[in-house]
Amino acid sequence: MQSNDTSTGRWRRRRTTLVATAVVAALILTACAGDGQAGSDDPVVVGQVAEPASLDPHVVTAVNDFRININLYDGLVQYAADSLEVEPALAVDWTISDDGTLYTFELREGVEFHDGTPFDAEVVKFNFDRMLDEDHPYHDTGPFPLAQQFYGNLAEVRVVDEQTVEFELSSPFAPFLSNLAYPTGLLISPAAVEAHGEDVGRNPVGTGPYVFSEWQSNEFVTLERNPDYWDGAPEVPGVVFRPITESQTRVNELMSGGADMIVEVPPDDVAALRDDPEFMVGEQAGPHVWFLILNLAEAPFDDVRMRKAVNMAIDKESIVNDVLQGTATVANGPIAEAFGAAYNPDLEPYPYDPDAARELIEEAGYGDGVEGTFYVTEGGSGMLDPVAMGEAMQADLRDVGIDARISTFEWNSFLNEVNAGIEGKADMAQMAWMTADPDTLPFLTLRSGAWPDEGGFNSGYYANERVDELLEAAQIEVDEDARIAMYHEMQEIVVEDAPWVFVASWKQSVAMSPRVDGFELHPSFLLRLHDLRWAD
Amino acid sequence: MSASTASPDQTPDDGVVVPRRGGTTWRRLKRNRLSVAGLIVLAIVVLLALLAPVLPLIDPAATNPANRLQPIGSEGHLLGTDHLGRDLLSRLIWGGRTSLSVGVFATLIAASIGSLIGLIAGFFGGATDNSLMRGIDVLMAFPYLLLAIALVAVLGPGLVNAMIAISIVNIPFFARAVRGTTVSLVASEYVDAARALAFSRLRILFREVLPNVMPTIIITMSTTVGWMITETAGLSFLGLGAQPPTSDWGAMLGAGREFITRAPHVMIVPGSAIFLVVISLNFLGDGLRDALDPRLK
Amino acid sequence: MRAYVVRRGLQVIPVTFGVTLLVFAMMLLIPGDPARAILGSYATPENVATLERQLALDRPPHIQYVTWLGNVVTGDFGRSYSLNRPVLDEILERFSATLLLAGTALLITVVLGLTAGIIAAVKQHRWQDRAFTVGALVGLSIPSFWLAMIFIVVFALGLGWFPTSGMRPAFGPSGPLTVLHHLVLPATALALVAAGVIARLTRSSMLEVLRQDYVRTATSKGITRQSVIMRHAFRNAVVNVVPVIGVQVGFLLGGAVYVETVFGWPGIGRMLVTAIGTRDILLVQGGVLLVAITYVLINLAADLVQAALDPRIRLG
Repeated sequence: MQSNDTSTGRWRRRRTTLVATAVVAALILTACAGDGQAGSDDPVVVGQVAEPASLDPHVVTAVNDFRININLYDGLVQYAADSLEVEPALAVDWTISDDGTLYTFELREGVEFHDGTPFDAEVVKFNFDRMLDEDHPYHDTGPFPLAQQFYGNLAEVRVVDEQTVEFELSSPFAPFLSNLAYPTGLLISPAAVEAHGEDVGRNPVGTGPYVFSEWQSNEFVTLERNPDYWDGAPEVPGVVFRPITESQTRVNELMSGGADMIVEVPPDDVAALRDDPEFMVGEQAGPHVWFLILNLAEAPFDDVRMRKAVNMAIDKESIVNDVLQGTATVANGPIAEAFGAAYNPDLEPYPYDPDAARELIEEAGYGDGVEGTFYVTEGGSGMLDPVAMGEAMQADLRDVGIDARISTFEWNSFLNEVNAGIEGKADMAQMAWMTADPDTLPFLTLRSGAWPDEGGFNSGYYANERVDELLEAAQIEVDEDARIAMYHEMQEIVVEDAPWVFVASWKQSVAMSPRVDGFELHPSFLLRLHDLRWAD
Repeated sequence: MSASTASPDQTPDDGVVVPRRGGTTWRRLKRNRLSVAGLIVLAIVVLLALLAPVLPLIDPAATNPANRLQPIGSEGHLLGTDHLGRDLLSRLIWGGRTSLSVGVFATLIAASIGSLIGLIAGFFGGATDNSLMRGIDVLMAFPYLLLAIALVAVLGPGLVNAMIAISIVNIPFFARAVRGTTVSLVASEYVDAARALAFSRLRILFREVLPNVMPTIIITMSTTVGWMITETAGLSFLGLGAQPPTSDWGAMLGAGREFITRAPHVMIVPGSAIFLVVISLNFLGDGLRDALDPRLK
Repeated sequence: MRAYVVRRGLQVIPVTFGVTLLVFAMMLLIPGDPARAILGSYATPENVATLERQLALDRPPHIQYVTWLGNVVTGDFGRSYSLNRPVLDEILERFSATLLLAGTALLITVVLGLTAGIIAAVKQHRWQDRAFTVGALVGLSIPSFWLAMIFIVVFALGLGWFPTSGMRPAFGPSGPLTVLHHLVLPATALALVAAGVIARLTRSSMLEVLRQDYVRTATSKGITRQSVIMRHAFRNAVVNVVPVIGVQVGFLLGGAVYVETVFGWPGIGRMLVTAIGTRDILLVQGGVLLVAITYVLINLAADLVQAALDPRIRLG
């Protein structure tokens, strides 16, 4: 210790330094706070719902990842701009044999991957063999969870010449072409797979309108525009995807300028942002159905009157308009309106009629009240606001004398519980599906051949012979009109049998700054940013 | 690990022998105005929670989606409504029942197990002491909340599991403090005297040592109960605690987070309740500590 | 001093052993088949079998533990199924973000806590004392997850002074200043609780010294009061506060979970909450282990610093 006066002096000096530091810090902060509007040389920042699992198109299963991949890669075919119809992409043309088992694709010439690898028939073969052929040298860079479900009928991919490739199916499979347009059919550079192995998902190389630039875990994924894109280079210099898990935080970021565009806007904010001139809101109904699986194997829902009663007891209008603030529409049956022709527009949704429901319950012999278990998830892909919806349904059911006891599960364990079948465990379970083809959902969830023990997702044990026949015939029917007629009949039967409570179809929403131009939502819920522009 | 670690808010004084003063404690406590204020607030909150079933409250589970996110002071809903149109006042009081009882239970569990470990370690010493306290050291080696989260990861989310996790992470505070006091008591003359009278060891431990350790236990309880209420609420806030339809203050806060721009009161109401209870507990705890152990003032 | 360093250093060994044992036990205690849990729901039976062999899951628990420890020591924490990348890469990246947040919060904690504590002690019984004492209690009673939301509403959305979430801008030049700008709100929200604790402790340690005879003697000998405060009281306060700072680091690392969640900070706390949700057990294990070991070392450092400052400890 030094003499006392120096130490006093030091104390004073230190105090001065402290004050100075504080002032400098304050200045810096105000300076930073000033950085304002994005300029036209800036990339567009998109607020996404989660950190991507991977950017390997064959590995990922979530819409969140698809939204990035669709901008990095192309498939052989793609959805048309405003529908789920299929149009050419990397294949310029194709023919399908009369028996529906041989597809021949003519490939686009002069396309290169971002790493310079030329796109040709060998590339196509590599991509599908990697997913489907267990002996393929890069099959172990998976797993490829959707490959079997989408392309399982693919017996062989044959290279005819550099620009021609043939797909031979083991049996006719009507959804095949639209499955190729699904993001699992996007094509990755074989050279990148060879170079990076299972880490290719963090080093993605495609042919798409944007080129992968940087991935900072949990902060952002940056893409730059591809100046050589075959369909015209994008106008904006790039796009940045920020994973912002909490919906409220996404809104905050949009309002504070941290994002130019956000997806899956919370219902309350959609309503408010719609009226706010500072922002634009886009909404688009999607191929999505939200429903309650009823347990047909056990009382009380082995009785069709009880199933109709719950369909009438639940106030679906109130759920879509109040709980979901108009971000969904009431579903009339198992096929969503977004599927166009396959949707049966003549079916009326079950009306909200608690009195009629009580009568049916009385008839079925449960007039004195009945108890049941209701499986609810905390949240999950396409589940909207499951807890709030579950609690609202619980209250509606209580009004008609049904005491639904809620059990909640985290999404993955929820899927494990429900997909294994709910017999002996629950009477009702929430579920939602979003698919690319009208076939997928009913085929996997309503056939008797799709009961859980058969490996399907018919977790409530619905069985109707005519429905089985229709679904199996539709899957191999090559004639589109005949196929649609089968779907319409199937929907009528299923609505009458009421194995589910048909609740809602989701409207996808984005909110953006009015400075972002050239963006249209697509019914597939993908986010194609090719035509993005900064408004002047 | 340092010997001077204690509860989050405790001076580093292991091994304080606290003289018992009985009636004077209350007189000392009464002199501290903040403590009295804390006590009054707590009494009101506890009373409301206890009386919830008989109070004229709207059913806390009754939804009314058309009437959602009503502001504070709206008709029929003094504190407004949440995202399903449920009455926030009613949910606050019922949720308080859950939050408070979970906090108190967690404290009792942590206090009994932790104190028992501390007593045994301090009284028997030697290898028993060593192995027990090394175990406590391992628990202390995890950052507080992180251990709770790891435990919930193993046990699975849920209110009871969150409560167990929070009690376990608080055991070391009790074990350390009680062991310190016990060690100094064992060395003191009157335990020698008891030994000389050939009292059984268990009798000495529970009849002679335990009562003298009680003030340490009470002080530690008063300094940790607020934490336990906050942390169980925190686990619920993260979605790892109370699962719907059960709702404690933390879960209400977590739900309110979705509406901070449109309806901030849904988040402000339960947050204020936690804050009010915890600060009252801390005021009371301070007063209690000063009253029981004036040396620390 | 050397003897103390060795003695204190050796204590780390059993603690670290216990920590690894507990973290390893997590995997055994989680219900269900561990290999399946690690690989996620899309794993093939072959994948599961291979992993079971690799982790010695078909052998007795002690063999499993040794195998696991061997992997961990060589930096092999496994591969996260939900992120499709090695666990180690992920936890190191996330942990550095947490350290930045907790480190800044620690700085705020110490500066704020010591300053408030000193002022309160020096001005004992005056209004400054009362203001800081109550202020410290308010600080340590506010749930940080709630404070964080209020900060966002007031300072980010209301006043627009700070960004609402994230660690840096998504594009463009990003230097220390922009990160600092993102840090202010979360670090402050995290720091206040710990600052309250430090302030109270500083105050009581200072008072303890100021009341002692030699201070009165020093003052009566004509040494200025400020120098007494600096020389004796402050030193004593620091000696008492340093080990508690070690403990506070634990609270900051734990409390970071909330703050990271609310502010979308890309740290390890938020990663753990997400990983529990997706049942990504390897990620939980790796994250908890890394943080716990760091914390053990920080406590060791705090104790050594305290010993260097206070001879009584290293001799005792």
